[in-house]
Amino acid sequence: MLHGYCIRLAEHPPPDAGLSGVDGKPVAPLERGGLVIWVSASTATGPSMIRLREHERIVRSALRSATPLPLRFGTVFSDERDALDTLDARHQEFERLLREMSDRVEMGLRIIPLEEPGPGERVDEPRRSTTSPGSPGREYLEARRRVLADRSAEMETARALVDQVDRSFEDLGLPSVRSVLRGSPPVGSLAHLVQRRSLSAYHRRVEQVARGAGGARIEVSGPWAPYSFVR
Amino acid sequence: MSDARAGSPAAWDRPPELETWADVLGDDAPSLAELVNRLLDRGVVISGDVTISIAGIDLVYLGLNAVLTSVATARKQLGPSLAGEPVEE
Repeated sequence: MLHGYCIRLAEHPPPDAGLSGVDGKPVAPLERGGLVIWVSASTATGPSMIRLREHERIVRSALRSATPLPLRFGTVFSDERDALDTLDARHQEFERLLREMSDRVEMGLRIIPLEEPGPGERVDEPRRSTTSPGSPGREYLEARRRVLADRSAEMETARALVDQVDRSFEDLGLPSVRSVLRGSPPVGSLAHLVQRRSLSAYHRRVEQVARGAGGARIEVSGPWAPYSFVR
Repeated sequence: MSDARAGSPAAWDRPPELETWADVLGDDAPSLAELVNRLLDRGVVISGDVTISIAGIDLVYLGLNAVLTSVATARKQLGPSLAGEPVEE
């Protein structure tokens, strides 16, 4: 079995000699029809932190020379033919995406609301009612309703923050993907597809937006391969 | 007061004009949350279900939160084999 990392155009550089990936297995390119898929022998085991970092190290290695299409971690092929048939099945789509994204990388923003629950108050626990006691069951259900309403409000706040931040980049015309990750509090996530030559300008814009983003802390990561812009 | 922080403080010290992609990528290790979010929830999906195994238990990946919980459990179970790895709180 083979562990898949990413797809590239054949005209772009192959893996560095001696490059080893997940579980120390050598990375090799498989080519068909002008497309290449980077693979290594698979041990068919799960996503430990070490393996995730090893996988990403290979994708980032590819990213250095030209933007690849990153495969989701855990993509496994039964053999080389299976991997190459996969390239055939979506060849036109992969080639189009690779050429469209060849000079772009993904940058990630985490938008973290600064307001937190007050001391001693956890939003994942029902608050005790201070009104006249009804039946315990009714009191519990009412408390649960308040908790769910709080969570819904937090998610809406997080979404509004992501929308607000993304609008601050509107004039740059960057493709973007917005999402909110559940948590306490929920964290907004924004991915932008940025041209390589514009990364410095993008960083300056992030600093500017962060200074004006009242109520949120913004953390930037990347560049990444375009994980958020492929399926 | 809000602030922008890169994955590593060194990113903001780079010169404004980048000469090579090695300058861009450097050796900064991405935060765990960003890594997990991208590798397990995004990217090209070749087959319908990506079957993964954590601590010897086969799971069909359903969503980021489920995996984070499972990974946290796996960290406790695997213990010393993951010693020294940063924890994203």
